[in-house]
Amino acid sequence: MVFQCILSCARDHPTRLSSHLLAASGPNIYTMSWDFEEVISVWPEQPPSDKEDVKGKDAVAPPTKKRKIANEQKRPNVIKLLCTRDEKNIVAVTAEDKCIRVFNLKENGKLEQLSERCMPKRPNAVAISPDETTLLVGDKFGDVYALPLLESAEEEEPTTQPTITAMSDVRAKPFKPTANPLTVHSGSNRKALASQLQVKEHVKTKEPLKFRHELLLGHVSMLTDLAVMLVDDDDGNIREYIITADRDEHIRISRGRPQAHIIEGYCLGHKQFISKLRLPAPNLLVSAGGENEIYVWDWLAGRLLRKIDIGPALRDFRASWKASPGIREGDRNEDDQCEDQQTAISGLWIGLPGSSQEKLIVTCEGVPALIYIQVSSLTDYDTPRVHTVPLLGNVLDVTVMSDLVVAAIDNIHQPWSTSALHSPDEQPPLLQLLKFEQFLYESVTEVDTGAFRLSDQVSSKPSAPPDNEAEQDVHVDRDFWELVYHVEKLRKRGGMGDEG
Amino acid sequence: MSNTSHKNQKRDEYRAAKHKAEGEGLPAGLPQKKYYRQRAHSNPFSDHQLEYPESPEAMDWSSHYPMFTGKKAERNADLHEERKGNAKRLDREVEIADIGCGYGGLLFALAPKMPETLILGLEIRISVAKFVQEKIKALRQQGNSPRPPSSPSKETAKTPVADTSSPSSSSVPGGYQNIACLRANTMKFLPNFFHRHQLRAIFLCFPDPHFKARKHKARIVSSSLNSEYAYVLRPGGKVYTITDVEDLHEWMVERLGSHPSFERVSREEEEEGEGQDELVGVMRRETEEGKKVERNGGKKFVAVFRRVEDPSWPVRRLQGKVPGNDTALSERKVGSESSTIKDDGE
Repeated sequence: MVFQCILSCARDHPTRLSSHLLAASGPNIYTMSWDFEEVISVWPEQPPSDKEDVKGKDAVAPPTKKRKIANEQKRPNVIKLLCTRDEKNIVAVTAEDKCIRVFNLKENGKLEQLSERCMPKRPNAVAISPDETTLLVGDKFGDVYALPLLESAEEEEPTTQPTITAMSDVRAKPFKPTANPLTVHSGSNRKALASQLQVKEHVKTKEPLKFRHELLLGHVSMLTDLAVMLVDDDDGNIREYIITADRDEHIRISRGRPQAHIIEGYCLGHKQFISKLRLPAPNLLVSAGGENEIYVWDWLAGRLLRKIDIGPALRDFRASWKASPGIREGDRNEDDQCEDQQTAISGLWIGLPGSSQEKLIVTCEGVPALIYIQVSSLTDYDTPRVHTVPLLGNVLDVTVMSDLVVAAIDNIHQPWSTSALHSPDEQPPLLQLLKFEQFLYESVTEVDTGAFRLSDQVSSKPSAPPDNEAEQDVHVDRDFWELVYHVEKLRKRGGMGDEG
Repeated sequence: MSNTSHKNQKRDEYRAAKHKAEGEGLPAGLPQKKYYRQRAHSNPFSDHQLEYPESPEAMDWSSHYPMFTGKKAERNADLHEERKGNAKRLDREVEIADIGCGYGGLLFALAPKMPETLILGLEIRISVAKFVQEKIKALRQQGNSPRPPSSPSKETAKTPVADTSSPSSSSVPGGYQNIACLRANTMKFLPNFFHRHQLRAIFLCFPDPHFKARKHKARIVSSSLNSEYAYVLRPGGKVYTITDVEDLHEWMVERLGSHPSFERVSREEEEEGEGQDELVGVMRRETEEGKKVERNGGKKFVAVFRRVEDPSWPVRRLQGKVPGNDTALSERKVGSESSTIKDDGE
C-alpha cells in the first residue's frame, strides 16, 4: 500500500501534538496520531467481516496490498484532502464518483461524514474560501463552482439565494429538435433530423445537481489548481481574488464572489501545463507544472518576476544518488536518456510557515527528493539557491506542520522510476518525517544534505506477507498507477491531429 | 472513404502548382475554395497542433499586417519598453476579431469599409484558415503587383488588373492590408492574443450550433466564455452574433444577455439602416454562411450586445474598520451589479 494523499491537521497549532495526520490509501482515510504509534481510526469503517485487524499492532499498514490495490470493492479513491483552519472539518475528494465529502474530525480522530456531494465532472482542484463558509471546486472540464462548506449554512444566509443557481427546476419540456430542415444540409443530417422528429418521448439523461451550487467561472481546459486570496487595496478594503490554473498554460486572475465573472488579468508565460499554485505571500504567486522552471509572479500586475530552474539541482542530485555506494545495479542502469527531460512538478508547499525561515517545498513526480528554496530568496536579486533532500523513495504527497514535513513515499516503485518495481523483499517506508533544525540551516551548503534531518521513519510492515499473485496485480493496475502518478500525463502529446 | 485519398491527391497537386507559381514570381491567383474545404466541426477541447503566442506581448503581428509596421510603431515600442519580446511593432492594435471567420466573407467585406482598423479572423479549421490567408495574400498582391514605377504608395495604386470579376485590392481602400487570419482555438487561447480591453468588436457569425445538449459546452457562447469576451472587449465594445438556428440564437441571447458584463442593444440597433451600426448590416449580408442561408431561404437571427463597465469592487473591510459591524468580514454588495453566471450544464 501507499498513501497517495496525506494531511496534517495541526498546521496552525504546532504545539498540539495530540493532533492528527490523515493519510489516504486508495479509498480509505486513516487517522494517525502524530507519533505514528497507532492508527486511531479508518474511514469508511471497515466491515467487521474484514480479515485484517485494522487497529492491530501493525496498524500503520493494515490492509494487504492485494486488497488495497486490486481495489476489489471498487470504492472511489481519495485524491485530495484538505481541512479548515480550526481542523474541525475535513474535505475529501474522491475520483471515480466525482464526489466532495465533508467530514467532522472528532476529538477521538474519527471522521464523521456530514455531506456527500457528487459533482458533474471530476473535481481536480478544491479550495476553502478565506471565510471558510464556501468550497471552491474546479473540475476536469474547467468549471469552478462554489458550494457551501456545510449544508446548514444555506439557511443562515437566505439573502444569497438569488445569486445561486440552485437546483434548476426539472420541467418536463416536450422535446423539440433544435435543428430544422433549413439548418441541416447534408443527407445524413437530414435523416437524423427526421428520426429525431419521430421520437415522441425524449428522456432526460442527466439529473440536475440536488444541492446548492453556483458556477463562478470556467476555462475551456482542464482546471488543475485554484487559490483564493484576500488582498488589501490600500484603502482599507479587502479584495477577494480567485486564481485558477489550467492545463493549457493559463493562470487566470478573477475577482472573488460575487463578481467572479470579472477577469482581472492573466499570468501568461508557462510553456507547459500548470499543476500547482502557491502563494507564499499575499502578493506573491508561485506556479509550476510540466517544466523544470518554477515561475514567480507579481500576480496582481500579471508580471513574471523570475523563473527558477530546478533542473541543475535535480541533475546534480541524481548524479550523486547514482554515485552513492548503497545503490544497487538496477538503479544505476536506469535510463540515462532523460538528461534534459522536463520534470513534472507535482507539489508546492510552504515549510516552516509563518517563520522567517519559510521554505518553498517542491516535489516532482518520480523523484525521491524534497526540493526547497528559501521563500525570502524568491524575490532576491540573486538567483535563489535550490536545495535537495534525498528521500527513501519517490515522493507522492507532502504535508507540513510547523518545522516538520511528512512525505508520503512510493514503496512500490523504485526511486526515480514510475515503472520499475521494487523487489518483493524491499520495503521502503510509507512515510518519512523530516525536521528542520535551525542551527543546521547555516551548514546547508551541499545540495545533497538538507536542513531537513531525517528524524523518524514509519516503515511499512505488511501485516501479512503479500502473496505473489497480488503483487502481480500491482503492476498492471492502471487505476492505481494513475492514482499516484497523474501529473506527467497532463503533458500534451504533440497534438491530436487536425481533423478532430 | 476511397475518394478521400483522391481528394487529398488533388489538393496536393493544387498546392504544389500554387507553390511553384509563387516560386516563379507569378502573382498568386485567388485560392479555390474546393481545395480547402474541411468538415464543419472541430472539437474545441482537443489538443490541436496549434501555434499561439505565450502572451499578447509575445505575439509578432508584423508578418500579418506588414503595412502597419513603421516609424510610428518603433517609437511606440520605445515608449512601451517594458513589453517583452523583440517582435516588430505595429503602429496600432487589432481592434476587431471575427471568431470563427470561416472562409472570411465578413473580413473581406469589412476590410475596405474601415481601412485604418486592423481586423483579425480566427478560425479553428486549419484548411479553412489557410484558404483565407491565401486569399488575403492574393488580393494584396493583385493590388500591388503590376505596379507602375511611378506609384510608390501601395495603398493608392490604382492599376487595373486582369481579373476584374473578383474584388481586387487595387480598387478598394486599404488594399486588404488591414485584415489577417490566424488558425486558432479561441475558446482556449483568446487571452494569448489580446490583452485586456483591446477589442472594440467581436463577431460570432454562424457558429457551430452543437445541437446535442451534451455538446452545449462546446458552443462558442457560454457563460464562462462570455467572461473572456468581456475581458478582451473594452467597455462600450460589442459582441455581434448571427445564426440561422433559432435555438442557438435564444441560447446566445440568454447567455450573453444574462451575463453581468453585457447588455443587449436595442432592437433598432440590430437592424440595418440609416444611422445604425454599419457593422450589423455587413454582418447580415456578407458572411459566406449568411449567403448560403439566403440561397436556401433560411432565416437569420441577429443579436448584438454591449460590454458594460465593470462595477466597483464590493466593499469589504476587516473587522474593526467598519463601525458597528462585529462580523469578521463584512460584505456589502454594491448596487445590483453583483450577480452570477448561468450554469450551462443544465
